[in-house]
Amino acid sequence: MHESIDRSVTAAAREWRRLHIRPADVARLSDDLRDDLTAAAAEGIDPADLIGRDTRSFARRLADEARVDRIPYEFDRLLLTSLVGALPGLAFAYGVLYGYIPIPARPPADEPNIGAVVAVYAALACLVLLSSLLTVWFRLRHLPSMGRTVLAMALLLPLAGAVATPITMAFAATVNYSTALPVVAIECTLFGGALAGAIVLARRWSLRDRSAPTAAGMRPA
Amino acid sequence: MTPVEGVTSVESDRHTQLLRGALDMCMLALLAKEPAHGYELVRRLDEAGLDAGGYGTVYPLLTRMRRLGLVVDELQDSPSGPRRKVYAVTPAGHQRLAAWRQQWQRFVTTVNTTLAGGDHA
Repeated sequence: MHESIDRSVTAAAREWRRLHIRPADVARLSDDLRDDLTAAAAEGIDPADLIGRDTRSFARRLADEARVDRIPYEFDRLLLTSLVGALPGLAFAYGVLYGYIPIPARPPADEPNIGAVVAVYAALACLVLLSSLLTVWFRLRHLPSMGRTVLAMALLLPLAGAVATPITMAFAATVNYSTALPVVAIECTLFGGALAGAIVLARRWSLRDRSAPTAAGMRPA
Repeated sequence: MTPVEGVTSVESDRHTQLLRGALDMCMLALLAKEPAHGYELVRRLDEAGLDAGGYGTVYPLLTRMRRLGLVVDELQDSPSGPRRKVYAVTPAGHQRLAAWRQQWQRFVTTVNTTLAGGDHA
């Protein structure tokens, strides 16, 4: 019976975490549910029979009735806005690298200068980052702690890029710089995953105060 | 909520709608008689013939009533095992129940009067 209680409470807690409910509230809701299911189990009632198959709906209803705070991460919107915001910068970078947009510092193709190449790529990366951050700020500035999120992204995204670039290049080297679709897809996943992780981390970092436990417990209506 | 045995689904839906506005009041009334844990309250509601929809409906409502300060959980000795947490009505809950009871009586009187008039139409 205890295993069944554990399964039910774990499934409910998973749903609460998915809803971005504060960890302290998840713990309290879990404890309360466990106590109630334990009381029912003492009378021989299986928790699975009580809650039914749709534990997620049950957990959502419970969270709604408890009026617990949800941490407004908004990861989906943030990631999508970051990507859309990066597109103008990426288009400009593409134009520069493939010669559609002339710039004085463009590295010559026949005698590449490593310093110039790095400078151009770094400048273009900064441009992409800037267009993404500005878009995020203007489109999502109404969300809580967005200023801190953008600042954290400005710090973490270059770091993620600096870490992901050599890893991606090392992978490319192991496959002899193949341009086969699966290889390119893996490279994009490696690099994009690192950047997405940095964005998620930045958002979590900027909202860490909201996820901290409080002594208030469940808020009154 | 599950359909009531022996009635059509339309009648069952009607029953569910009627109960929706009165379930918290009935729960409070049953808890005022004697504290209970969630499943026990479900059983009492069923015994009262209310077909409240089971634990999945009742427990979230209990959580709401606790948030509103109408009930409070307390540990109680159990004859069949360890101490268990039961829900009891608070003084604020008793006051609210009295107010709801009066409101319900007025409502029922009004509805009955209206229905009685409908019979003559």
